[in-house]
Order: sequence, then structure tokens, then C-alpha cells
Amino acid sequence: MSVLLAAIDASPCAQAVLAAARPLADLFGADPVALHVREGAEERAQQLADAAGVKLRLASGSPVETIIREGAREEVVALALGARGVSGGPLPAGRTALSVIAAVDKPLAVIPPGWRPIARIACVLVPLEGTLAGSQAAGAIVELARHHGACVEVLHVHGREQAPPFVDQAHHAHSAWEQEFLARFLDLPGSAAAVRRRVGEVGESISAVAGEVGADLVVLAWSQVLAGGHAPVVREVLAASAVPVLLVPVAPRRAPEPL
Amino acid sequence: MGARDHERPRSAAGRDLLARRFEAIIFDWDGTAVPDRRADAKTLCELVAQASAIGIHLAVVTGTHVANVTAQLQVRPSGPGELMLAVNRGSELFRMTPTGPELVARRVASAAEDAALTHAAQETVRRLGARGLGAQVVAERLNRRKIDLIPLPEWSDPPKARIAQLLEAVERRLAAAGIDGLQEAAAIALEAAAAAGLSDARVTSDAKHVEIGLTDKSDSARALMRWLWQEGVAPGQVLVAGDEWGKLGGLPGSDSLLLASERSVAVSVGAEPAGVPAGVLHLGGGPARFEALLAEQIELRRQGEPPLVDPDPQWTLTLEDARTLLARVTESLLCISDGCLGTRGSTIVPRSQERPGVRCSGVYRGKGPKTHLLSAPLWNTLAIAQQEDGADVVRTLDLHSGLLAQELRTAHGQLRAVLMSLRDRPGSTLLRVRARGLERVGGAAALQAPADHEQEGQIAAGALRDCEWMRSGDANGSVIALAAERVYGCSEREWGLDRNAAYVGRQGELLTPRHARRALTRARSLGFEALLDGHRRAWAALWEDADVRVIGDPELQLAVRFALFHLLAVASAERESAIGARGLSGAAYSGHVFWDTDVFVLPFLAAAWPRAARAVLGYRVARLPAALRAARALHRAGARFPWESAAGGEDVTPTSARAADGREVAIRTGAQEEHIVADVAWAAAHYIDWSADWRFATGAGRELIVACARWWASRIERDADGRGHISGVIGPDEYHETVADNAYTNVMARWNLRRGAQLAAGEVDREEARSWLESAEALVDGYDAESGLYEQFAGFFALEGLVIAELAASRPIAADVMLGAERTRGAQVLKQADVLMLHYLVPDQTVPGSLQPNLAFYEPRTAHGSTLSPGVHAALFARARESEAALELLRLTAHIDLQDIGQMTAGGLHLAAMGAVWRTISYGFAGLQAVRRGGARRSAAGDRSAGTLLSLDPVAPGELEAIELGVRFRGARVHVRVGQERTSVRCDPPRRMLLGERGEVLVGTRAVELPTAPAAQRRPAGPGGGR
Repeated sequence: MSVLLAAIDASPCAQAVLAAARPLADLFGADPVALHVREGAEERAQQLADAAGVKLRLASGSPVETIIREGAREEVVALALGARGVSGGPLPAGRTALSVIAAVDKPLAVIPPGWRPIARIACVLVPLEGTLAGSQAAGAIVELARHHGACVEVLHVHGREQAPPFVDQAHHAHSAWEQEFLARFLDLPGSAAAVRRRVGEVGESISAVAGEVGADLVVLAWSQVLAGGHAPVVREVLAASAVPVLLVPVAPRRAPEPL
Repeated sequence: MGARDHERPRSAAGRDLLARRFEAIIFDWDGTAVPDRRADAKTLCELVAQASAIGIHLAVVTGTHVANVTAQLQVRPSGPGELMLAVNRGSELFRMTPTGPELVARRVASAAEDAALTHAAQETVRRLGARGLGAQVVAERLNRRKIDLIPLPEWSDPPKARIAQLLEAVERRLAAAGIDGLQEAAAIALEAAAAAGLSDARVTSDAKHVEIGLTDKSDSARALMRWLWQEGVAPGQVLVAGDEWGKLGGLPGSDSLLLASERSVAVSVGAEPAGVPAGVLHLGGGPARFEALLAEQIELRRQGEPPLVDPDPQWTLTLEDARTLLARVTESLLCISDGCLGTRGSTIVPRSQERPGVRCSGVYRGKGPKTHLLSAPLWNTLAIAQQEDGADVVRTLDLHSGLLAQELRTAHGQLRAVLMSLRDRPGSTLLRVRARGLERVGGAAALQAPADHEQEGQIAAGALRDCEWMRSGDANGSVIALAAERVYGCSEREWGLDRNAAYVGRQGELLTPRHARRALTRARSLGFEALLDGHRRAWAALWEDADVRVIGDPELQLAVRFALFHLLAVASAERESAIGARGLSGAAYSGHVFWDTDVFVLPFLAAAWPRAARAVLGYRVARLPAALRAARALHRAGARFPWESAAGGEDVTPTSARAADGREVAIRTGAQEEHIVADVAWAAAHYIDWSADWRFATGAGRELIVACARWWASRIERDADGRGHISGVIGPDEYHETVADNAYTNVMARWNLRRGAQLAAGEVDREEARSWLESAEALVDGYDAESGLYEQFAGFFALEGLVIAELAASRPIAADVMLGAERTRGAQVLKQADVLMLHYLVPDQTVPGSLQPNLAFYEPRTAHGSTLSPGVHAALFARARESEAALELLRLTAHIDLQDIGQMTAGGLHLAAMGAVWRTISYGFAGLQAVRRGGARRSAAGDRSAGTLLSLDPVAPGELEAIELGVRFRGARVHVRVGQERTSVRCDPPRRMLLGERGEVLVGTRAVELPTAPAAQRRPAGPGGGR
């Protein structure tokens, strides 16, 4: 049996995590299981889990180490935890969440506070930065989403300094560029996916487009190094996103392959 | 270390070296091909005939005269392989024809040289005699004198087999005279020749004789390699066979002079008592071994062995496609084309990441902005049972012969293939495959439907008695393909095949198999070898006029040739040639024809292949009626050519698109970028100036230029002061729309009016021509005499004064994406050259001395966000003598596709940038341009007098040692070498040329020199201005 492990505490964020747990589990073809690290609020956790119809697993130890340990179990295919409602600043996702996402080598969804239950994940936004490693990591989730019947929206954000070198004739060039971008980084047989493009700050753009397309989930590939890579983007998205963000680890220290 | 120490062992590696196909064999005669001059050569003759019939070029090299060879070599091969006879020790070259040997070239000695040879020989005999050696001048042959060192009856005619004994006997005689072997005897002869005034005499020895000559076998070897190059055969495809490579009496063996290129494979079938030099494979076995070699080559071809490409790094592009991310880029780069049909260089067993594509020039589908080149059936794919995406594939494009070779290896086996889009048979293709360990899928068709066939209308297919056919498209336009295969089968897993395909495409017609039937039948009847021969000879002929040598930068050299290859590949000498922005190499830009072709591609063709330039103009001429209708629809006169053009000549420019920020934006280029009208006229005039095509100049060309002039005459608005204006346009810098008095548009319009008025003399109403001249004079151009600047358009100088070179971390960059379209519109930021395009196209219409200030002002404000931009600036930097900056931008331009700098190459190649590469060299560095005596204002297209001259104004090519190029100018072949300090030029037949400060000079086949202008100091780059 595959499990999506939803880590909850007794904070209001737990409800949001549990609300997202079942549709996320469905996406992975797994069963949702709530994990609560004993901190004296087990009863509350049980109530919340029961209310969401999710089985609860109790464990002891430090929250971070326990979530990492439990998340490493073979049957766990993905995790979910709450963003704790910190909406800005240098650690928007909360200390626990940041420590866990940096250590877990499985897809991990960060659920924003106040996330309401939905029946299923119907629309997935996949921002791609244009690296092979990132697209491979996100590609696996995209396949799951398509299998699940979800609509997949692909986004690429040009930072101001990363504008393409040439746009000869915009009406021809943009479509040619987009076709090639998809072919390189999300070449799915039978897919008629199009790539949306934005120019500007990456984090802001992802959040804005997620809202525009009505995404239920944002899929972000990342290197799990908070100090570098596109960690600032991850932080920004976690801080600003109104929908769950699924972080998909890529193999570390792979040289990026520019488009 | 003795000579023997250098000898290559008779190793397995050596045998492997010969177990391959050669395209030509150059061989010594006496001792290599035949034991002696009396031997029966019947077997050899049969082999030579067979080799020729199967396409092997053969060349005999000998010291003797032609009759001695043909007495034994009684064969008249019918080809396609040719038989050449390089005789008389490098002084004569014959081609064997069905009626006998035909002289190709002969070195003719002057009377003084002849006398000097005789004197040198007599003096040699005298000097040897003085040392006590009796020697005689025994023969006076063409360009040489033969001195017998051992004039004794027993050594009167020693066979080759007794060479060792002969040498021993000669050296004994020499030693008895106190002469230190053959080496000293040769030195005595050389001194005597020098004393006789022969500074470059060739002294050789066959042990019995010392010969003093004007030529030797090295001259034969060079001439033959040159001949083979013109046949499309590269040095690495040549086998050179001799029997005397090793030293003879301390002198280099006579056959050591046969190796003109180290890329060739050299073998010796001789005894070689002193061993062979490094790099020569010693086989031994004499003429019998040589015959066996020849038989092996014949057998290889009979078994369907594909030709190998000579991997010369300056002529071949080899791509080992490990990075599948670049799969589609690689397909574009390796596109092969004959000008009518283009085939992407996909792996022959296509991978899932690839987008194989075949397109037929000028055959479109769809309407309006959705018009695109029709995808045609695929001829270049194979289905094998062990199809794997993980296969290792190496593809090599031979630029000189237009041949794409592929080698595919999987865990199961390997496959080699060569593909050609036959240059001399537009629309016909040829594929040869040889596979081992891989099984072909049974019943697989030779033609496959294009991947996007669902969008391409009905695909129809069927089989005829001896071939299959497939058609894409419908009655609005279709392409029919016929294909037939010949399979060489050893077994299911070891097999080969030849596949011929013939295509015909037509707009407005539903074609049937009969339309391509004749072409296929003819090609099949000729067979693989004859088709290969014709194809590579056609390519080689194009390169004779087109090649550019970049000396001192091998990487740039290859990049330049790569650009020229694709410009040649996409061109055609057919009646009309529709060359889209990406040619036939990809689907991007839909095959639409832009000013790219008229302004950037045509100048190269006009200089390298005038008939192809004429065909480019043929496309515009055929669409003149549509342009006339477009002008009428706008209530104006003349011809309004469209910004984007396809089959019918109506405007097919889209009117909206999504921008990089996802917003829907209006596209106004179709409505406003009307400088295209003058660009088309400019192309016609440029061709007239360079070709002196009188018929075009007085016919269709004049009609075109006049119709464009009429457009401008009706387009200009006069203000109250009588000044002329053109408003509501977009200039080449497309960041600013709906502007008034764009300097480029106005000056080009002015030029067009003047040229039209001059052309129209006698044909057009005199009053109309006069009004054009008046309008031209009235047009404002934004020039400010104080600053020396042209204002790009009215109000440009009032825009925000951004300097993109300082703002951007690097250029090129799409500034509208970086800054946003709105800010860009309000700023002095250019996408590409605008004012400077005037200095690029019509420098004689600009104020003298205005290049430098405008280059200094506009270039830092240019983002180079168009692939057209770096090349234009490269040329202009060169004109401004800023060679370092020019070279930097030239390198960038030449690598736009090779390094996929724009990230767009997957959709096709950037032909305009490729044209700009050539123009940077020809106009930028060499300063070549057509000028008229008396200045441009007196110019008269169609002037077939000597009034139009080629001007040469060279600038030192930066850190390059030199550049060399050839151009055709008004029927003459001009060759230019621009060195750091000196430039030389030759012209055949002689023409008067303008040579910089030397003024007008008659230039002929003997090089004329002039100084090269030194490069100026480079202006310091602004911060962030790096590219």
C-alpha cells in the first residue's frame, strides 16, 4: 500500500493539510495517512483526522526528525505538511517545514493555511525553469497528473536579465520558442500542452498564474539546497502561493543545462 | 635511426585502412601498375574499365610520355569514374576519353627555360666528367633533360626488379669518381641548374639517371588533387599507390612526391629496400598487389559500400548526438537541400525527440497568416527491429560534397548511411545504407507520412509496379514523392540498400505519380555511383565560386563555410526561388519570405551564383501583380510588396500574437513595415549591378524597380514647406511602431525614386520621372550636420536616453522582453540596425563620413535582439576599421545556429544571419561593392557599359592572418586576398577595378597588390556592454 503522509500538529494549519491530503493521495494513487508527533495535543489531532476521514499515525521524538524518519519509510510516496501561516519574511514556510523539505528526498506538498477541501486535483501548474534535471523531476508528477485526468499548465518565467537573446519576429519566434521549450523539457507523447510565459519576478509570476488558471497544485522541482539554486524562488512561492506547492527534489549537484 | 625504422608494420590496422572505400586512386605506372613497359596489361585494363564503370576515379602518374602509357593501358573507360594520365613527370595532364587521351594541361617551357635546361644538363655532364665519371645526356624530354650515370650496355634498360643491383652498380661508379652517391650527383645537377638560371629546378633520380626538369611528380599530384577536388573528392578519400616511397641512394623515392595531402592513404607495392617513410603502408607484392587492391575496391562498391566522408575539420560538421536536448537543433544544422527540396538531418532511424521533415520550396498550405510550407513525405527514415532511442549516432555533414553520413551503433549492431539531396537533380534524393546486426522491419515502406500529416491535408499513398508513391496536400498545393529501393542482401542482419526518391511539388495542383515518374526512372537508370558523382561535382562547382578562406581561425573557418553551405543549399537556379527566413530547414516562420532574402541572402548569391540570385528575384517578379493589386487596394500607385510573402504574393503577416509576457499584442509589421518595397527594388538593382544581366535590367528588373518607385511617389506627403514625409511606418528597428520619417525608409525610398527615374528614361513619362526626382529631393532624412547623426525617426532623440549596452548584463538581448514593450517604445533602444542599415546597403546615399558618428551613437543603443543585427554591425565595424569589434560580432553571427544562441535553431536555420556572415567578409573587410563612375546619382541600372566597377577597399581582418574570397562580377571571376598589410586581387578576364587610393586599375590574372588599411584602435566598451 502506498501512503501519502500528511504531517499535522494542532495548529489551524492542520485542517488545511488534511483537506489537501486526500486529493493529493489520489494523485499519487496512495492512501492518506496523518502523522502527528506527540506534543500533548494528540486528542486534537485525532479529532481533526477523524473529521477529515484520514487515518492517524502517532509518533514520538523531535518533530523534524520524526517526520523525516517516518517519511523515509518505503510505503511513503509523498508527504504533505503545513506552511504554518507565516506569510512573508525570511522563513515564510516555518522552521519545521523548511527543515523537513530540505531533508526529504520524496515529493513534499506544502499546504497554505486556510486551504479548503477539494474533491480532486483538477489543474496542476508546472513552472519549468528550463533545466533537464528540473524538468525530469517535474515530468514524473506531470505524468501522474495526466494519468489522473488533471489539466496540466506549463509556465516559464523570464527573469528580466534572462530575456532571450533574439526575438526576430515576435509572432513567429514566440511560438517556435515555446514549441521547442516544451519538446526539450516536457516532451509528453500525445500532449498538446502549451507553455505560458511571463516576464518578471519568478515567485510572483508563479503565484499570479496559479490564480489565473485556477491551479489546485503548483509543482516545483528544486535542488533542496535552501542556501542557493533557485531556493529564493521556492521561498517566494511558498510565501505567496494560495494553493499547495508540491516540491519535487532533483538529483543534487547536477549541472544545469541551459535551453 | 634508419629509414627502415620508420616503416609501418604490415599490421591489422594497415589492412583495416584499406578495407574501406576510396573515391579515387592515384598510382604510379612503372613498377606499381605494370612490371615494366613491355608487360601485358590486359588484366589491369579490365580492372580499370570496371573501376571506372563503378565510379572510381583513377589517375596514372608517370615520368614517361602519354604514348608509352596508352600503349599498355588500352582502355577507354566510359565513366562515371574518370581516368586521368599525369605524364611527362608533371608537365602534362590528359583525360582519357572514348576517342583517346585529351590534353587538359601542359606546362610549356619558354625558350629561355628550354635553353637553360639543355645548358644545365651539359654542365652537369661536364662537372661529373671533371670528377672522372662518364655520363651522357641521353634524352631531351618535355621540360626536362635526362643524364645517364651508367651508360653501359649491360645497364641499358634495367627492369624495375633489378633496382637494388642497379643502385649498387651506380654507386660503385660514383664512388670510383669520388662522388658521394646519388645525393651528391643530384646536388651537382641542382647547382648546374641554378647556374643556368633555373632557380626552381626539379632534380630527380631513378638510380640510372639524374633528371633536371621544370616539373616533377609533385606537380602531377597537386594537379590531380585539384582535379579531384573539383570532382567533389576530398584528399582523405584518395588512395595513392607507388612502389618507390623509400629513399634511393639517399634521395627521396620518386613516389614520395605523389602525396599531395597527408589526409590521403599512401601504400607501396614495391620492394622498398630502404623501407618506406612514416605514414606509408608497405604492402609489397608489386603490380599484382596493386591489381588486387583495385579489385577489392571494385568489389566493395558492388557490395553497396557507402562512400566515406573525409573528416576534414574545416569542411565537415560532425555531431555526436549524446545530448538529446539538442536533437532538433542537430536536425536543422544537418539539413540537406538541393534548392527545391529540403530534408532535415534527422537520424535515419528517427528518435522520439526528433522532428524529421521534408519541404518543397514554394509549395504552401493554408491561407493568410496561417499559410505555411507544406510538409512532404519522408524519404530519409528506416525502420529497424532493434529501434532504440539510446543508440549512439554520429552524423557528419560534408559541406564540400553536400553529403550527410550517419553511423548508428546499438548493442545489436551498426548501420552506416549516406544521404544526398541531389544538387544536379533538384527534387531527387539518394540514400545508401549498409547494416550489420540490425534487422530491417519487414515490409517497411520507403516513404513515410510527415509527423504533422494530420494538418497537411489528405495523405495518399500507393504502390506501382516498381516503386511506391505518397502525396501530401490537396488541389490547393501538393507534393508527390516516388521511391524505389534496391536491396543488397547477405542475410537478414547483414544487408544494404539504395533508395532513390523523386519529388515534385506544385502550388494549386493535385499531383499524381506520373509527375515524378520520369525523374525517378532516370535516376534509377543511372545508378548510385553516377548520381553520387554528378551530385558532388555539382557541389564542388558551386564552391569554386563561393568559398571563403579564413586563415588563422579554424573554428571561424568552419562556421563561415557552414553558413555558405546552407546559403548554397537553399538556392536554386530554377525560374523562381522562394527562400523563406529559415529556408527548408524547419517549420518555424512557416516558410514565409521576408526582406531577409532580398537584402541578406541575395548579395551572396549575386556574387557566388548569379543564376540563383536571378531566381530569387524571379519569385518577386512573379508576385509583382499581387503587389500592384495591394497598392491599388490602398489607393496608391505602384507595387506594395508584403512584409511576409508566400505562394501568391499577398501579405501573410499575422496581425496578432502572444508576447513573451503572455499578453496578446497587435502585430503591425504587415501594415507598416513597408521599407520592404524599397528592399525588393534594392535587391533587383544590386543583382543588375553585379551581374550585368542586361535582359533583366531592361525587362523584369526595370519593371520591378519602377513599380516600387511609383509606390513611394504616391506614398510621400508634402508639408506646407514642400518637404516630403512618410508617416505611419515601422523601420528595421521594430521596437518603435507607427513612426514618421524613419530615416531608413525615407532614404531607401529616395534611392528607389532616383534609381527608378534613371531606369525609366525613355520608358516612363518624362514628367513622371522628373516628379520622382523632385520627390526624392524633398524627402527629409533626419540628418543633422552638426552632430553628424541621422535621427532614426521624427522624435527619436526626445525619447528616454537609455543605453542598452550599459543597462544589460550582456547583449544580444531581447530588450522589449527585458524592459517591457512599453518602456522600450519610449526609449532610445533599438532591436537592430536602422539608420545604420543605410550605411550597410546604400552607403553612397548617406552623407560622407557619417558612418562613424552614427555607429558610435546607435550601436550602444542597439540590443541586437534580432539575429540580423550582429552581422550588420560586424560589417560596419569593419568598414569603420574597428576590426576587433567586427570580428567579435562576426564570430557571434557565424555561431548563431551552430551554438543555438537564439534557442530557435530547432525550428530552422537563420539564413539572413548567414548572408550577413558573407557580407561582413566581402563588404566589411574586403570593402567589395559595385560603384559607378560619376557617383550614384548618375547611376543607371541596365548600364552595360563599363560604368559599373567593382571597388575594393580592404581593412585588416583583426587577428586573422588573412581572408580570401572569390566573387563573380559582371561575368568575371575575381579573387581577393586581404592580408594584414597587403591585399592582392586577380580578375579573369581582366576588368578595370577601383582599388582604394590607387584608383582605377586594370586587374588581370596576374595579382595586383594594394595596401590593406590598418585597423583602428578599438573604442573602450561601456560597462555591461559585453556581448
